[in-house]
Amino acid sequence: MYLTKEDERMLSGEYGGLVQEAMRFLVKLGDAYDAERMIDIKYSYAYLFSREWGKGALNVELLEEAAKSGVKVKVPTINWNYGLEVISPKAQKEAKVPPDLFESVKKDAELCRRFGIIAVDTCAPFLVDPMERFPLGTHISSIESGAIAYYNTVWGLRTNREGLSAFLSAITGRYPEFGYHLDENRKGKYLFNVEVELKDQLDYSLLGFYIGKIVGDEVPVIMGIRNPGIEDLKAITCSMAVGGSVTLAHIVGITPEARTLDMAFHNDKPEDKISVTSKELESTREELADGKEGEEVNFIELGCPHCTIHEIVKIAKLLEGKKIKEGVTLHIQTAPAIAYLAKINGYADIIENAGGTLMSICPVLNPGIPGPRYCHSHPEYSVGNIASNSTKAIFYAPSNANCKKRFLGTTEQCIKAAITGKWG
Amino acid sequence: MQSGKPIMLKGKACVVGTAEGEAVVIHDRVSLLGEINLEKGLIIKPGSEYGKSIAGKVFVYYSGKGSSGDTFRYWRLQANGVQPAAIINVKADPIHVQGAIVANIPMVANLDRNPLEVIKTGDYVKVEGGKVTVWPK
Repeated sequence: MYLTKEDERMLSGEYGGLVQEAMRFLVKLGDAYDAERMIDIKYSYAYLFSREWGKGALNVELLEEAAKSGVKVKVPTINWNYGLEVISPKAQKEAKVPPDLFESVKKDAELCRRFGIIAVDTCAPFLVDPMERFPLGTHISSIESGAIAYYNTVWGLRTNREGLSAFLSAITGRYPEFGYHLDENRKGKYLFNVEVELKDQLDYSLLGFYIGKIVGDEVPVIMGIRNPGIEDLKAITCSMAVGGSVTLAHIVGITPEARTLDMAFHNDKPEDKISVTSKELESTREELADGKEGEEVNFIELGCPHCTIHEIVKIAKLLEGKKIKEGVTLHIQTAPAIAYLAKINGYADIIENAGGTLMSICPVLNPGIPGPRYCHSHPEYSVGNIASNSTKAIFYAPSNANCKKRFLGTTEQCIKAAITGKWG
Repeated sequence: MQSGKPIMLKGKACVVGTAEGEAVVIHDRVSLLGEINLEKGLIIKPGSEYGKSIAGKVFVYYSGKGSSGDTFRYWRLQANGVQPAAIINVKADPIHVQGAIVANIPMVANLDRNPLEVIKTGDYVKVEGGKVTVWPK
């Protein structure tokens, strides 16, 4: 791989051990894909998760030493650090995070401040830090499968699916040029004609999961989606990354680089054409959710990915003056910044008075209960029967919440289940 | 080591290294989140391999999918001492490549033959850089 003089200086250790190991890692990653050079990135959305760092070349001591010696990120960088410090005491209690993990989360928050990283603590950072002002095609480095698909698809930014590399590219400002950073890999492959009216966010979530399963990691082109809301776009992009590992989709007329079908296919023809009717959406729902009408619901998860303020207003209105059934748990996930808006506008109180909890830590990532760490080592624990409006929440629920029956419905159906304790 | 005639495959070494062991094969994309028990290294993805261990095995699957946190989950498997000996993929997902880099697990992809058609669970497999040798069970 071609390296600039500055890349070489980073690699030689001139800027310290962490920058050196970061560059080594990025070169290894680039070599795995035969990247020809490094490119500048302009923005990063990263995880730190220092408690997960192993004992190898990249290790916690190196990380702490770098923070102490004044190493900073080279580009605006945001991160996801659970949001445990700012969420309400009720939410903290509900997340049941063990004290040692809570301490490690606080340590990460401090490390992030020292590196110059801003914690947004949300899986939907595009709701609170709008970077769509970047020119079309700007190279960024992003974690979080749903956000990655959103940045590429809705804003026309370029990122691969990143893990640790997002943080490492933030402190070096560099990333190997491969994958979705290159024009030729952004060409559409399959055409999906949507022949059903998408009435609810749930329909977008089902459609995304269905498309993801078919295309895997290829680029789907989607025709027939008109005037989607932000909630719909976050539902479809996120679920494509769960059903498959879609990094970029061209939603014709919405995706900036796919204003027309020809632009989406780079003036070529689709390899295959697939029609989507209500039948495909219904079969996707049946594949994911085995719960039947009239059965008990114990746990309701909304905000996967995190709710917009408008979703919270809608949920609060459905809950106003009502109480959720005793013994039923209703978690509504959102970014801390949006939870604050909900608080000052009075919606958080409406939700809490009804018995629901507004929080920023879902079972997918919760280091407490329910979450994968706890649920994998405590097979006897279960949240019971779970309901959501999100295919992602339901797809991961058996593993991360040890759930029994699963229900997929609209927000209205989910809130109704929270109040009655029954589905339908 | 088995006595049968070995089959050789050649591919791209995503993480260079040498390792060998019994193969465990999943004919699909794999997400460590939700499909692998990270404490014990057990497959919890529904299917014929459910309940089998990936610890010390040559883990063969189509590609990664889903959560971007899977890089860190390879680290967790390593911390728990239940990481696979090697990874063989049809296509290399960047998240899983990164997991293999941090946990120092030899990884091969883009092989000249489809490893899912050649390798079966229980076969003995050796990975050396981009070279894969399979001794059928």
